[in-house]
Amino acid sequence: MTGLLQVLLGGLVDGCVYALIALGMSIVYSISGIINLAQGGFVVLAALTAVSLQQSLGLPPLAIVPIVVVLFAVLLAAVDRVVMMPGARRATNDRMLLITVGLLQVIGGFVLLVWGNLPYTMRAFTGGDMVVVGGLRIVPQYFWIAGALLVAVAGLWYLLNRTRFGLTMRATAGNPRAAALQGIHVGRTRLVAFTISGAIAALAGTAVIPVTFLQFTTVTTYAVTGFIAAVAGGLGSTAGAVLAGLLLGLLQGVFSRYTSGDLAQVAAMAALIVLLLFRPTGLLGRTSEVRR
Amino acid sequence: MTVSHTESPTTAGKPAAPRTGLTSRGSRALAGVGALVVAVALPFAAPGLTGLLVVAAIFFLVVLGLTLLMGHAGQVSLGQTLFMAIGGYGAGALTLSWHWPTVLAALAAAALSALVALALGRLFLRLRGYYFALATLGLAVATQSLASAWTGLTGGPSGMVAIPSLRLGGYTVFSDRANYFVLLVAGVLAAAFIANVKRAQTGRVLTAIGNDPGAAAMLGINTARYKTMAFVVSAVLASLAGSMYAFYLRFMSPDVLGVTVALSIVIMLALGGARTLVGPLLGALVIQGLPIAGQSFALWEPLVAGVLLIVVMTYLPRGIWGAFTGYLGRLASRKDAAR
Repeated sequence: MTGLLQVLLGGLVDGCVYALIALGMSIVYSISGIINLAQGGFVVLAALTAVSLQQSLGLPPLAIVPIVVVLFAVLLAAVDRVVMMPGARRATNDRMLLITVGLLQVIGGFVLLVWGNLPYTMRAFTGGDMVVVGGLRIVPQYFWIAGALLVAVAGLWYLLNRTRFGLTMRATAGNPRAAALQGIHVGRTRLVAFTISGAIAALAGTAVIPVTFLQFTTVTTYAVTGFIAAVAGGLGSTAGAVLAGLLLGLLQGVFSRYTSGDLAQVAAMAALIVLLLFRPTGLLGRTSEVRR
Repeated sequence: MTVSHTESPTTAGKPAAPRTGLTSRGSRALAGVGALVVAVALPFAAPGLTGLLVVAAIFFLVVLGLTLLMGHAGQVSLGQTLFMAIGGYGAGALTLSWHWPTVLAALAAAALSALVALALGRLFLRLRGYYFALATLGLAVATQSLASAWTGLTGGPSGMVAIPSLRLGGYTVFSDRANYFVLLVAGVLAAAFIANVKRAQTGRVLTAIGNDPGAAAMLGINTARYKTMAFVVSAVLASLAGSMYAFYLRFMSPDVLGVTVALSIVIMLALGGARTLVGPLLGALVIQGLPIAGQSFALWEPLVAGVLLIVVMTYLPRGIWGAFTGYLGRLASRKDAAR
């Protein structure tokens, strides 16, 4: 029983990361209609950047977090300006998916060049012993990962629902053309969406790297899993992204307990496909988005 | 997902327009014969490149299969590795454990792929745009995982070894050069088949579906049926290519058919041009050929391939070859106007 709970906990932690990736994709999608398949790649890139920064600067891991968050907020803003904007001006949103596949390839290639094909990890944010609750061993870093998700969700909720700019963003998400006619600077709103997605990617990467090993090949894994969570949750739905990410993590956890890790992947995929067949717009997606 | 319907109104829908210069039928045939001569001479002229050409030809088959589905019907399938896996592992298992003749094994695997594509197509093609792309990406992930989990059949992560070479009527296709010529014949046949489908009504129907599925359905076109058919064609070609891959490498492993490979297949198609026959060839050659630009360059390959895809997708919506023929077409029509 405890064994199963331990596995579920591990799955939930993975799920937090998937949820963060899906969240980043979701915010960009709702503003711009672009599915950024590379979002998961940025998470790995952020994690490896954090490792290298931490080693070269000698700062405590926790102090690295704000640096990487700012760095990736700026990076994703630059990506929007350099890659996405010229693309979106000429290409349909559909072709943009291929552009982000290219972006993912670029990130993978960059990671391979700079860090090689070796796995990296980092010291935990805070030392301290494992917390044992009813036989369940909880690494302190788990709290930081859950905290990262909470901060991201709460921050997004506050921004979207309690600020003037959030209103602008929601208006743009609802109907970009109408928003533009109302005098909203859609390009700037999109830039902010990308900036936020960058910050979220950095948060996810730095939080998870102390409890896992990341490398060149995990770029694709994270990108794909995050994409699946975002679509399973219903594209553009914040709550859906979080819910689907956590569920995906749990599902993989449960299956990897009773089968091999590889079969867990297959099972997760089968579950997703069945879900899509019954709910083509994902768990919490709006049905109007799919015309049959 | 429509990859190429944003061309300017002057070039849209004009089939290789004016009958002058390089675009006329006669010189096209001449160019075709020339290309064939080059293709036959290549392994003798540059023996060191034959191995690369074999792999490029294998991926040409896979990418060619996607042109109808992606270039015309506008559906991006990110999961072609599933059918390559059925072709590769299927042919391997049938020949290794059941001692089937290699050709029969490849055909049986292709038939199985067609059935799987038929079943999956009926399920998936109800999903639109992103959702279809996602479901097929799921297939690619499941393929890689299943290939390493199903140890009994596939040999797990260490792979399936000692797969026999292709045998054609008592002749064993073993050397790079022999494999290349078999694939050359297969590639020309497949290209001729796809060209026929494109030119026939089926091709036009698929284009209509890609341009506006709603309007196509209103015209009484059974969009699901046509899309499923294109999916089945793509699956059969991918399966045959997978079998050839297994016979050539004499080895199959989950790494050979990873998610990255699945993505790079779509990259090859988009890069070359999704609606032409030369586009897939160009894409396969570019992506497979990048690593041979130098040992140290191999490390740069994924990065360069990514940048290339972004630039081409942004500025050349019809791919490298589409842009090239578009340029020739404009050149020819300018000459016409001057006359």
